[in-house]
Amino acid sequence: MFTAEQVRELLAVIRPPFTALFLYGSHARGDAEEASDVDVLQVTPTHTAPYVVGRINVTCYTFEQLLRLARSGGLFARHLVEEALALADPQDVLGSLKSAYVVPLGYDGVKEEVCDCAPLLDVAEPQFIENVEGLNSLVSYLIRTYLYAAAFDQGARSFAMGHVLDVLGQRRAKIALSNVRSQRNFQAFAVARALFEELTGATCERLEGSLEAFIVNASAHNNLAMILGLRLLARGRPFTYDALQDVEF
Amino acid sequence: MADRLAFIGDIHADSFRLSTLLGNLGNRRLVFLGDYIDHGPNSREVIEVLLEITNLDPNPIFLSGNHELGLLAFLSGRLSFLEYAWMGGLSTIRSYVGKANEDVRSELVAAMPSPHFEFLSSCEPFFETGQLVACHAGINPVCPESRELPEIVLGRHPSLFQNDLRFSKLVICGHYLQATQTPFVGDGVICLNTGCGTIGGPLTALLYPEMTFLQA
Repeated sequence: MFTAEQVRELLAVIRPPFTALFLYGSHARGDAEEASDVDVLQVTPTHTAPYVVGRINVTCYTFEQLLRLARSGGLFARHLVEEALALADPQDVLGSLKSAYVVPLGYDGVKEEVCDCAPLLDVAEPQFIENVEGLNSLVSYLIRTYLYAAAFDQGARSFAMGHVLDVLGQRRAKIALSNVRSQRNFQAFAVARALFEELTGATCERLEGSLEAFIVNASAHNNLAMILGLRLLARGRPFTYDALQDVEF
Repeated sequence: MADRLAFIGDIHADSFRLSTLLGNLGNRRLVFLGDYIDHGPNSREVIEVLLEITNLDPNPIFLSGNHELGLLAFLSGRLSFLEYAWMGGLSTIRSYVGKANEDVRSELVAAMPSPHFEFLSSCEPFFETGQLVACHAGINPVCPESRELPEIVLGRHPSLFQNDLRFSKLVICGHYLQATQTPFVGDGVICLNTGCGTIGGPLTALLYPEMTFLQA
């Protein structure tokens, strides 16, 4: 669990403004390992891009976006209502989310969305080397999300990955995820990608000739693929809404 | 009749609401405040509808929004795919190219009819009379005389929404999403972006000089 000093350090890296801040994930559950990232949700007044500071991943949502996620019973909303710890929440955002949260009948929709993202992983080694961080994060995210969805469909009770893997009998995934994180090379990525294909039955071959074209087509029916694709293209650069200000007209 | 105006807020590719609203405005000069495209599903259809009414008498005024300038900048290579996508341009690209194959920018350039490109390029930055000034992003309260594009089309001036602001002319703008889905009416500023095409809100028109609103 976080000490007061650790919370102060965490708050120091947060880029204002925010209306609420939450810790979630392994540090909120209390089962973090030494190498675990710190997951923070920043509730912002307007749409804001996520950012990373060291091991701290800051995900940004507006209150209205979170309410929509809660009402649709999304996995992230479940994550929050079951595990989030408030670092700052003067307007009781968490209470509102808990009230709004609707338990879904199942997670088939999540699994389908994740499968549709498979072509984002269609890269050869030279492309991988250009964006190691982004592609490793992506394959880990897709595997973990699919596993969460499958495990909750089978009665899992917690987002702790150890518990999820136990429910599914998937110890191999733990090794693959761990290797992606520790080895940071194309071989570990390719093994994880193959495991993703095996788990989901999806094919990582992209039919479009570019990532941009895939994003355009995916955006018609799959928000997740669109957002993950754009993040991949951005390679960690923050989005600025003022890009047009630099264009000569 | 030329003195009777209708200012129309952000459309954002909702062609159904646009057609419905146009059917209810009667015979008056139309002033569109920009942001015809992006976010919503039917950018191409919206431009088609606007092209159909360009020859109305009196001629409608079409002002530029930052999204029109964003599309033009993307088409000419001055804005990246990523930057235009973040602006909500993916649905606009789809509305023109259907299914993308590889080089999205080239495919969009090839798919866009010349009259659409000419329409986007010919939009005006502002409309001004002795009593009012209409422009997409409103004027900068710090330099209210400026009519430069970065200020009145691309800018963001949240301080316009302080109720005590007064200018020498009424300012009519869109751009700033009114989450309440109702127009903002301040002492000297009116904002008509009520979420059409973005949050499922209505398309709003201000009827002038009556100062009444019509929504579809």
